[in-house]
Amino acid sequence: MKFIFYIFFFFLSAKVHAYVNFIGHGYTSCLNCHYNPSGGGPINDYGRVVAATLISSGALYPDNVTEEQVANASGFLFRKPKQNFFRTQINYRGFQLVRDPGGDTETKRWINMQADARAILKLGENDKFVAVLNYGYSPLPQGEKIDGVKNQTEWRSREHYIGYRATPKFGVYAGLMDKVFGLKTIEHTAYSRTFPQMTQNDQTHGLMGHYLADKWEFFGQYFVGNLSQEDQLRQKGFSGMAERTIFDTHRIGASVSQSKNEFLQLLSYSAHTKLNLKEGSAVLAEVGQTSRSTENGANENVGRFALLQTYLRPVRGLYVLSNIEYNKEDTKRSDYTVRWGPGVQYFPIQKLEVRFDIYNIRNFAPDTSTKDNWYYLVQTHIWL
Amino acid sequence: MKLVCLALFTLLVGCQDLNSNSSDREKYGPTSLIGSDNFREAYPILVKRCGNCHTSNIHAAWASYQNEQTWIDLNKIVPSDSRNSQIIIRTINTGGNNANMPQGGSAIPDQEYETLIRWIDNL
Repeated sequence: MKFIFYIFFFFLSAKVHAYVNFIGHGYTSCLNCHYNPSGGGPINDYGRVVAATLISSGALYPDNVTEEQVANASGFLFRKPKQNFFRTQINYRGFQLVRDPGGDTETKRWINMQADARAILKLGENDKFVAVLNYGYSPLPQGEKIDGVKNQTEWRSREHYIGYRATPKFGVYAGLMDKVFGLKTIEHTAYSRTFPQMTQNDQTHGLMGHYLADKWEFFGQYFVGNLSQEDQLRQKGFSGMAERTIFDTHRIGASVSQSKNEFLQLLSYSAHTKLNLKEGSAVLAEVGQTSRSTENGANENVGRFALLQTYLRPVRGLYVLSNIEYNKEDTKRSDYTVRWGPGVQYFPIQKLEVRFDIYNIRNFAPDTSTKDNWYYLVQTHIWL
Repeated sequence: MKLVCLALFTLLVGCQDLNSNSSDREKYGPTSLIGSDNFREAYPILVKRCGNCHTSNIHAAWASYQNEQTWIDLNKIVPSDSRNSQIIIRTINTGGNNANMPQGGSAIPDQEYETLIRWIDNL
């Protein structure tokens, strides 16, 4: 029986991501678990152990498996690292998308969302120097090749940067990274990510400074776009974010980002909060707006977005979610859109996540009545 | 050896470059439209109402379809038959079961919607 268990465990090994809602476990700063202080990307050794012992359910382990044994198995291929300077991770995310479920036009599609390999070189005491590489699969839009777009491969680097922490409080990072702005939620199609162009493919080359004080955390980033892209299309500019811990366990923050390329200028602001409801439960909220100004005068507008997410953790490993989003594409118009829905996120064992989300999209306009859109996702997230 | 590895990491550049800005030239830059006068009126509407999602980052880059014939070749429209054209069938304005576009967005304003229909029906 134990043999079967360990074989099962071997083939379904995974690494758990840390998410913004883990403020519910008392982690106000992403730097606790991530090499990138703004979150996302590979997690460090501490993050692995937390994910294995705090985030994941222990229900499937035999009774004689201790937390220490689980922690020791949190490394790559379930092994405790024998050296301290190199780490590697493999990551896969796929989901079944079902649109108009039960309706006349129901469609189902499996999407291989992500398949990454990650390598981290870390040197010096307390990982003073890090070099991170995150390279993997990125599906082309619905399998179509786009005329005129170079590099139509389905492989990309999502991160490659070096970092130096001069002190535990201050670090600088240079290379390809996500832009720093707002809540880095896992839902990359959230309006709060798409409006200001902070989606999963919007990484940029640049220089980021990070300062972590007792109750404050600051990010400043200058970026020049993704150097793989032709120069005229690259958004170049800066972004900044400041967060403050309040009442010891919650965070409030504000972000600004300004950038432009030859055709489009963007100016985005947002304010957000992360509330710790204790025992792993949390509330996330963000409001913001993005102003667009274009070279040809088309699509000049100011759009607004808002996000409210609750994560309730009834038992270890299980999170019950609710998500409400607001989107007003143009403040000069009266119509707006609300997307909402519940979800369930379960980490049955370390390195494995399954998630189920339902979404409803409703449009509100004074002169038009339209049908709601419904869809659901069943997602699997596995790492070695 | 460690330093060599460090240097190698910093020299690597990503390959695919699709992102939110991949279609900015087509959407916001000068256009070279080839087609009827009605197409020249319809194209900005398609870019404005559909182009934010139909980019190379998420779906096919509609802003790059600056030749009227492309819309026909890709079966997005049926000449002279707006009722059976996908971009009309799929838009929320039709109220049909398959109508859910612009997804996450509001219905296309009536005047703009009529422009699209006029374009297709006059082909």
